[in-house]
Amino acid sequence: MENELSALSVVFTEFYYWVTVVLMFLIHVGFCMYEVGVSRHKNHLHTLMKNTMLIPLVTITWFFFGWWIYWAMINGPFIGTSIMDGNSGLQLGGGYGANELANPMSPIMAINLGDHINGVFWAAFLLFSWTAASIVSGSVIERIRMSAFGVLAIAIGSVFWTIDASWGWHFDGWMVKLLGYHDAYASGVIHAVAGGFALGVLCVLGPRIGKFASDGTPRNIGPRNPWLVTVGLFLIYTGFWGFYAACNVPIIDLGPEYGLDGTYFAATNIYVTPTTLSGITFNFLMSLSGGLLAGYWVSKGDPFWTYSSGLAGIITASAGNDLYHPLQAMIIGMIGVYVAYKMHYWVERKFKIDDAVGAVAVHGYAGVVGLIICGFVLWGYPSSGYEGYAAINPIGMIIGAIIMFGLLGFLPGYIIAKILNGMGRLRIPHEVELAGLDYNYMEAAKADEDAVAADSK
Amino acid sequence: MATVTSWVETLNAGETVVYPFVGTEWLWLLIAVVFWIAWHIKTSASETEENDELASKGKGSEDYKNNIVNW
Repeated sequence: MENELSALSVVFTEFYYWVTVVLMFLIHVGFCMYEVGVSRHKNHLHTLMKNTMLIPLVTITWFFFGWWIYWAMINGPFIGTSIMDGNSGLQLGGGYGANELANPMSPIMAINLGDHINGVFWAAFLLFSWTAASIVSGSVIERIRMSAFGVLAIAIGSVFWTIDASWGWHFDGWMVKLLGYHDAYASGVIHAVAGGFALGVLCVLGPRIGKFASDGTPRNIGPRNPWLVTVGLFLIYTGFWGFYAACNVPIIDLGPEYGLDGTYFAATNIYVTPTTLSGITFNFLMSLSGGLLAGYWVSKGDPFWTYSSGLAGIITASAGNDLYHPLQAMIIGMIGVYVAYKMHYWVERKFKIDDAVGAVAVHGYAGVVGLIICGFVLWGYPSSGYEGYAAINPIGMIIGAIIMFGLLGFLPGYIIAKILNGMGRLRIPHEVELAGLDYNYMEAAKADEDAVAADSK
Repeated sequence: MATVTSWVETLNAGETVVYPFVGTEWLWLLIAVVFWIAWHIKTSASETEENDELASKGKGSEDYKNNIVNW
């Protein structure tokens, strides 16, 4: 670091991302509480362990290859051309963030006195990966094998979401350049892809025993512990603040980046276009509020859906929340919630899909709606400050939504689940599902309690 | 093997890599990947065994209620 000012800027950026990681950790705490609250007593511990173990599984694979994929796939490969070095294949070099730095054997993938950013940036993206896997986790509770979920978590958390982020959530990504794709706070690159992936898995996994009557009428297997669900969702809201902050670059001089006259220090989104942390705070809260209002209305005050709709409101508006007016963010959030809620029950009845926590609706459908609306509302805005990029437009955003939800979400989820199912490794045995995944733990705990009670007389 | 034996010398030389055994990253990666694969195989087998054992008990959907312990 050359002087006090540059040192301060670097250390501020390092600390900024570190704080976002700590905040985003709360998303995972929230997901754990939420899933356990929704599951039945006989499955609590298995549900908890499933969501907990995705942490190490996704983390180490993110270190092995996930981070590398993000920096390597920006050109498709062979769809776009990098503005860094004119390359169109796998991106294996070309300046900061290029791929020699993300190689797990690189000296910069460790404590390195010459770098203060790679580790915290890696971790911020990693926490997004956990979120993607956690979204899938909730929808498949009470009947999936832990080992199968581990494979699926790695697939969505360290492979497919990182490909979509490389394509559409990178300043040099081909979808940004060629389609005018814009997704500032990840309506598509996290939520739509994970929702689509979950739907693909659910199509193969099937519903829980008893979810549908013999005539196909769905039954509600509702949350068993409303307080865990409540606190869990509040924690997810809290962690979402960190998520939003982590999607920004806190301070950068756009002058040399864009060839401006002089300096222009700004916070930017991931595409290096300017926004402000203050402005997105307006939009975060207004889209949360729009979601809660719409959810309370459409679900007739159902607490489970009202809380989830707060999230869905933010998720819908997230694609354009770097630029929307707060009132636009609120109304867009309301539209997303209405569509997601209606779609959830229509798909459930029509296709007998048992999404235990409504994850496909809250993340998948709301994410897709958010991308499409963004294409219309931000139509004509530049997708980048660099030359030669397509402007944001509805067609590009609709294609982007199909890529996120369908191509990189639903399709891989369906195919991997099919393979696991074909090997007999996807779903737990019928007898285990009836007894409950925790039956052996509970039986042992009861035996211990009885033994202690007998000795205490 | 210590990569740093004197902070003064290291910083004066502009060295930035300070973790031990520099140059053997490939070996640590190999060990980690082998462990990662072995973990999946081992835990999957143990899960199958546990599921088979539980399935053979033939418990009904309400039997777990007999095993609820006090808080």
